[in-house]
Amino acid sequence: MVRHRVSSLDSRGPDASAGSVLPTGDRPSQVLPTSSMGVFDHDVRTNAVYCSPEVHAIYGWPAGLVATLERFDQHTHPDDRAQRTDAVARAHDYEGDGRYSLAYRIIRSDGEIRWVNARAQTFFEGSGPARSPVRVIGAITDVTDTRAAAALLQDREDRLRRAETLARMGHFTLDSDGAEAVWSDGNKVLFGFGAESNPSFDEFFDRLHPDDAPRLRAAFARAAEDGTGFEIEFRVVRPAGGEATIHSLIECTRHPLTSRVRFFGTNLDVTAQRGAEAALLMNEERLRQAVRLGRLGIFDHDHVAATVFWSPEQRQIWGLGPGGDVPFESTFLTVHPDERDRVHQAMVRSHDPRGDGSYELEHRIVAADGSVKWIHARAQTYFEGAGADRRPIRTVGATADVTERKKVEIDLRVKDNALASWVSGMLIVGLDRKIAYANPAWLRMHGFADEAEIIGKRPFDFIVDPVQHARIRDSLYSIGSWMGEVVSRRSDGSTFDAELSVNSVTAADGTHVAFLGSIQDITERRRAEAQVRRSEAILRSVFEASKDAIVVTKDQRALFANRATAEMYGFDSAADVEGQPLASLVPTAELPRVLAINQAREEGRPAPSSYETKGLRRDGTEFDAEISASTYTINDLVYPLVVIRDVSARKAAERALRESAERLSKVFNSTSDAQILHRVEDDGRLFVVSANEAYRTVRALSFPGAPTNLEGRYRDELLVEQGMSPEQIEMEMPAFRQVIATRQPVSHEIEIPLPGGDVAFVESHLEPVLDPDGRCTHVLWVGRNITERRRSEEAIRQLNVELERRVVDRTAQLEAANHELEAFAYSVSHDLRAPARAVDSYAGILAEDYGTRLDAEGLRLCGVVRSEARRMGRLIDDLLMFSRLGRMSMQTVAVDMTSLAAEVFDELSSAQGRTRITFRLGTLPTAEGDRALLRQVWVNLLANALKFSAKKPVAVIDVSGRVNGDEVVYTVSDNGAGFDMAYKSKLFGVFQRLHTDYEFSGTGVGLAIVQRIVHRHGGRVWAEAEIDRGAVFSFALPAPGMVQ
Amino acid sequence: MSPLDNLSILLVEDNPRDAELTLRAFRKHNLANSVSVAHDGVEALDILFDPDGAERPRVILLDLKLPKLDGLEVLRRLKSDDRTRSIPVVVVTSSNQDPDIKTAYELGANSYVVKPVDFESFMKTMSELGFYWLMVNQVSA
Repeated sequence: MVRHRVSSLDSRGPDASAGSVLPTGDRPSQVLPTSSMGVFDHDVRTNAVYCSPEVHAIYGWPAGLVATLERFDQHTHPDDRAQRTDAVARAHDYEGDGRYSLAYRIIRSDGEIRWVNARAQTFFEGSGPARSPVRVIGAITDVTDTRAAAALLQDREDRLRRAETLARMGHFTLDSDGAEAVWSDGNKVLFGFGAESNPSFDEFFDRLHPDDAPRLRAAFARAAEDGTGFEIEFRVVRPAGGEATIHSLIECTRHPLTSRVRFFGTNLDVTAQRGAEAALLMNEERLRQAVRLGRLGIFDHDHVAATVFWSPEQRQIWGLGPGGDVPFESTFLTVHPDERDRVHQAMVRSHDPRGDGSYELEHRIVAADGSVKWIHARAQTYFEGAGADRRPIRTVGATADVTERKKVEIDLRVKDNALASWVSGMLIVGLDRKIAYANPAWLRMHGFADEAEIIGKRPFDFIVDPVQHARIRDSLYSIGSWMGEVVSRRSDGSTFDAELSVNSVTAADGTHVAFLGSIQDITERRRAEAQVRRSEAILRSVFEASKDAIVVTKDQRALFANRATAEMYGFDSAADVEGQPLASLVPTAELPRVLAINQAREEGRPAPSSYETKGLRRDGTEFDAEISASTYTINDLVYPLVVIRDVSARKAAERALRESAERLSKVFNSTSDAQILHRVEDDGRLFVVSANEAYRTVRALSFPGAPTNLEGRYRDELLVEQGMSPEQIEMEMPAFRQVIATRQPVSHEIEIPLPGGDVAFVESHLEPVLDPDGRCTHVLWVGRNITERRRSEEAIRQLNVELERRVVDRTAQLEAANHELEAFAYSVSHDLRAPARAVDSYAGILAEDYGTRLDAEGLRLCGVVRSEARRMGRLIDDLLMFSRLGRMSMQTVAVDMTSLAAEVFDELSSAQGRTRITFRLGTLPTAEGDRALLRQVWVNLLANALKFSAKKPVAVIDVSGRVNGDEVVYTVSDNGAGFDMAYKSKLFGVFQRLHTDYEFSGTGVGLAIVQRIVHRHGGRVWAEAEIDRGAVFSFALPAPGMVQ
Repeated sequence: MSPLDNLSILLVEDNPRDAELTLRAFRKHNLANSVSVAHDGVEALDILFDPDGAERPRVILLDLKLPKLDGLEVLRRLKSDDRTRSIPVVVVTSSNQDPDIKTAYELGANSYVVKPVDFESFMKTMSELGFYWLMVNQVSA
């Protein structure tokens, strides 16, 4: 057996060595500082025990207390005593290796229970059965903290592992027919795919454990049918060969538009959970082992002898074999290069005679096999001498391999960071229903700064609705999980919407360990959802309410269509349109182009966004269509979307407009009237669209200086250029406004001032031009220069006035002349009568008184004188009558011509005393006229008839009359002398005689008088005769009622 | 003088020929016991309104066309004066114009006679006139 120089040391130096086994000098005064590691030395033969002060410290003994085995026993926790005794006994067994390592509880002097780890080596003497222990040297470490730390570590590890386990969650959404599947990256990882990969649904399914796949399929099928969710656990075989157990929570919804069932699933990889137990146990064991073994290496450095002693464990830590000295220098070289400075400094400090010689450091080393390890080293350097002579003589220390712990710590830190940086708030609630842990995200979410503020609080304090507390509780205890939306409360009392998922965490044997809550602030999501819903609602209503046909297509087929589409294409409903191939909606001639455009859109290639084509209705008729095309992208799939507008009416209107425009244009420019087409602007201004040649010409002639560009300017501008004042420009505006308002044309005459002061008269005609809606959008102004016409009119008017005046004058003159004439005639005839009478009378007196003295000749001469005088008298009377007739006022009455004629005839014939007359008087139509004058007519005509027929044996006189249309005709015929028709024209002339006085006396005025009277009545007179056979005199008068 | 004695006629006639003819007619039938002739209207009025001894003829034969004072004017005066109103006035004139006839009657003429142009008719008319107005017609005292 190798003797190792290992000593227990007295911390206070040589003087404190009372009761120690070895003399002071032999006892290295190496003290481990007030860390929890103490060293003891048990001399079996003397049964003395020497302890370092640390041991005292560990046990809570006062410094001077002598340590005894009994004391050690006493202070061992009763539960552990037996165990310890056994271990000690084993260590002392001569057949064993003398090793002793035990962790047990002690009860300190102050009653506190601590965990210690004691490790010792028994040294034997002799061999065989005589082999007996002589010395036991060991170290005790207070591992309460370590243990606690280990426990905490474990706890944290658990938590972390669970969190990590639960972090290994995946989500997916899936349509019941597998058409649409969305996998979260986490899910992909769960199934062993890379997060970046894009596996298909079948690939996912292929990973299922063959035993579990049917079960899963059945569950999905059932859920698809009745739309209920389910929970299921199944295994997944990863390609790497690993198998994972997935716990899946599936929920179902029905798609609002298509009524398809959609699954929302959350997958939990519970593999680790299942294996956590085992791992846990393993770790515990490992830890226990680590503790048991201590992995404590002990080293002893003698500065004086310049030797170093390393315990086997130490060598083990460094990865060195058991044998061989350890060169001092090389130990330093094993320090990890990054740590060398730190370590060197600590070592130098501990060797400084001025210091207390303590050393404690955790650092990395590079073991012989090249592996990097973490060690926790404690050492104490002892000095000799005083003052300037003080120098280190010995350094004793212990090293623990803390690589594992460190790894875990690091892992912990890393994972803690991972957990900390996770966006979702995580809360762990223990069995006591109080919060055990909250991650930084949860703290942030709820407005807390420090975990400490909420540890131990009740989680339901942060959920507002008490009803939900009950529900959540019930759900957790029945199925162990709950998922839903809650209203969460922050530290300041404000609330927010959140999505909460609570799962129970169970150990491998199914016992419930804790609850894990995962919470997400869904305020934003809610807002976005509401917005999406709103915009969806808006979009949907727009989609349906639109009068334009909207169609979403895919693969050249109509996928969605709105009601307007159905109406436009003549289908009964939008559903009938959906599914139709585009080929059935587009006429053959247009199909290639439309399909090409649609294809380009679907593939994301450039395509026209609007174009004109034709649509094919269900009944086979075509219509002009205007298409606006775009795309609609969902889940990276591109759906071409088209808006179709039936523009047939517009096209027809355009065509008609074009035709009429052409017609108008021809007329417009060929007419000689000046025309301007105005467009009516919204503010009422008149915009000149076009002006014809005639206008241009006139404008150029009349206003030579005015600009010649007319189109595109306003009417008032043009008129200003013609020198019109604002009042003059405004003059025609009421007419324009009237035309626009009433949509009826207006004509009027206007005056246009010309340069130089002249005025042109223009007849202007305003014609409204209506748009298809019946609004007056344009007004056509047509102007005709009527200045000349006006002048002529004016001249004519003047002329007329002049003529009137002249007529009036002339009439007055005539009247005056008439009056004069009358007065003259009257006066003359009146004054001529007396002398005529005198001549006749005196000749008569002569004949009477002196007749006897006259011979026959003398008497004859007297007679001649007398007859001439009498003739003169008759002439005078006739002249008087004739002259009176012209101006005499007529009194028009109905005249009974029959009785009048009879009366006149009686008068005449009786006056003449003739008897041989045959007088035939027919019934004469009534005449309308002046009775006295008409009487005169009968007098003259009948007197003539009597006179000229006097020579016949029997005078036959016929008077008849008849109505002849609008005339009444009277006829007087006699069988007298008649007259020569050759002289008919002279018949009615004044003083015209067709017979000599010798034949028939007469003045020649009689018929003139008849004609004058008949003419005054508006009638006419004529005669026919034959010499010696008689004459027929007729006169016609306007029939009664026709007289004007 | 008794009314029966008064057989005078006042003839107001400016034409001496017509006057002579008229007188001849009266004389032929013994009607002209006393015929006074005034040659114009003024003279006639003088005779009728003479303050020293106005005559009151049985009938006045009044021509219309008179110099100085017109016959119609004489008529008016005669018929508006109490002294002469009731003396019958016979208008004897060449005019057969209705205005003259109308006016004469309106002014109160008792008769209107147109002088015929020929001798025989003239003589006959005058004598008939005379006979009627002197013999047939009655006057007040």
